[in-house]
Amino acid sequence: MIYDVIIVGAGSNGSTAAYFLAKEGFKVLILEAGNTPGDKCHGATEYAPGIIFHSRPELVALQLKVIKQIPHLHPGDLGKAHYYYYVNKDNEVVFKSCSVAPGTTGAEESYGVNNQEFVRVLTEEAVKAGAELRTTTKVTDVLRQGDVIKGVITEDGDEIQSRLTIGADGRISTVAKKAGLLKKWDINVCCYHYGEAWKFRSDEEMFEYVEHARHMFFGPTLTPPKPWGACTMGLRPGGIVTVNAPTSWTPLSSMIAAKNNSRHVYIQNLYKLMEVKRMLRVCEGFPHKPYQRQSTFLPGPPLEKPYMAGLIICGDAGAVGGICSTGEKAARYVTPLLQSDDLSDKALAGYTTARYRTDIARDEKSKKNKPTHELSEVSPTRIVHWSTGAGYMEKYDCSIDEMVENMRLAAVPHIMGAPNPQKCGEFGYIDMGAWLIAVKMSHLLKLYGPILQDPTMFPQIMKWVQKNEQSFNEKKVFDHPF
Amino acid sequence: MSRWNKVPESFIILDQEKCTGCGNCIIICGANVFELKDKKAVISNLNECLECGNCEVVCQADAIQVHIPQAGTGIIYECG
Repeated sequence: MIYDVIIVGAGSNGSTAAYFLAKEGFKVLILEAGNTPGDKCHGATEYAPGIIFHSRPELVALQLKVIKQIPHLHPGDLGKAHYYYYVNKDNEVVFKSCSVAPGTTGAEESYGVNNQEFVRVLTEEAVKAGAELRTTTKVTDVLRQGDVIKGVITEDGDEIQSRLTIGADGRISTVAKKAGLLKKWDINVCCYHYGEAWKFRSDEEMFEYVEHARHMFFGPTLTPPKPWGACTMGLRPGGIVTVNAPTSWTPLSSMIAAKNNSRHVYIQNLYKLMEVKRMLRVCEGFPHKPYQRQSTFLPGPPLEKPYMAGLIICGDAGAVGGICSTGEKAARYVTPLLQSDDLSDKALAGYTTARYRTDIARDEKSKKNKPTHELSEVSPTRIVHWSTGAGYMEKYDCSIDEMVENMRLAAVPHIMGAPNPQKCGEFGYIDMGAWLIAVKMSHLLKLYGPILQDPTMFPQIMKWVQKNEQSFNEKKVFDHPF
Repeated sequence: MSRWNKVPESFIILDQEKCTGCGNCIIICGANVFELKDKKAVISNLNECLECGNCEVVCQADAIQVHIPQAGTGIIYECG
């Protein structure tokens, strides 16, 4: 028996792909190594931001359907509270750049859900839609016929054939490895991210510590080897505080170059901060007992390419984050190819960019803005390419000043400053509709500057911006501005 | 709550022959799994492993192989 699609890994992306492909009437088999789906979740988020970040109605509907079946929900828009601290070399908070204009957040619907529960129910939905699920079945190799992947080989030696294989088996992907797609990452590009999470004992305590803050993320500007950095503190739905060490977005090369200022030093420094201490005091288990730790690469495992004849890689395995979203995009991309039975290397190549896009059909129509349209396509009110204004300015036919003012009024919730927006595209962050991709810091400051809590820093920031603006597109690592 | 269940197999394989002692794995590991002994990396804290796979990716000498542990063992995240 030859399946239409074999999906390796019943995680959030695998199950989502299975759901949508099964609904199209394809014969889908999900292979899961665990006893139950969700046993070994390495997903990168603890709630379901996919609901807000990915506006495709079918996916939203699916996620809501799943979430409503999960007990112990923590509904609300708590995802909006984010703190961002800049720390100097003496462990003093230089300023908090967190507080962005009050108003609605991008997280209109975000829920704190248990990842394992979420995945389990999601897989049930895929099975209800007609997919076949085999648990306790570990895939150890792919079935090759020349350069074409024809299925998988399981631990028991079973060869299962399919027209298309979707590898959704997580960060350490067997499928990608065996297919020969995995490579060593360029250490100048790869970033390292380490985070810890604590849980508040009660909602009351949590609210006590929630101010009006949002998350403002200035990108890879604050990195070793300089002995200072920035950390983020976030309050997630479900009353979980996350603290990310300043090593976020640090290219590995700079960490290696600065052995004495590596992650361990930053994490130790983090605990010394008054703000962190204050926040953690009311968390369970403080001190030194985080609820959860995690470490990951951004943007994920390095792949030569996320496809080859008869195979595509999605989810964490495919180096593009996003709960459910890449699975859904994979399903949508391969549906017409499965129907026309063209699963060649060439036909699947388009998946590389399609997985970033919100709407493939809409993208086809708007090719005029080639360099930035992928960035601006997502949501013009939320993502803007700042150096050109692409997206927002086109849609509303306004000047950059008007755009800045509108942005302020609209209270864009999350900001990510990126030296190179194309790189952001590669990293998959354009998926995140609530993030604003910014290039020109001067515009950013024009927009959010007055709300930054320490106005005495502005002249220094501006000087630094002016000095570095030219090189934003070239350099990967910047000196700290102060 | 994340917890760690004992992994029966050795899911990180470190080839001492290939190891050049560059220390990249020690720097990148968020869980202090590795240690440098006699100019070679050794696994000293496997129980702390967060299974990110970074050590394999940064090892330019190809001395480290990571296999994800069996379901139900290793790190179990509640909130991925």
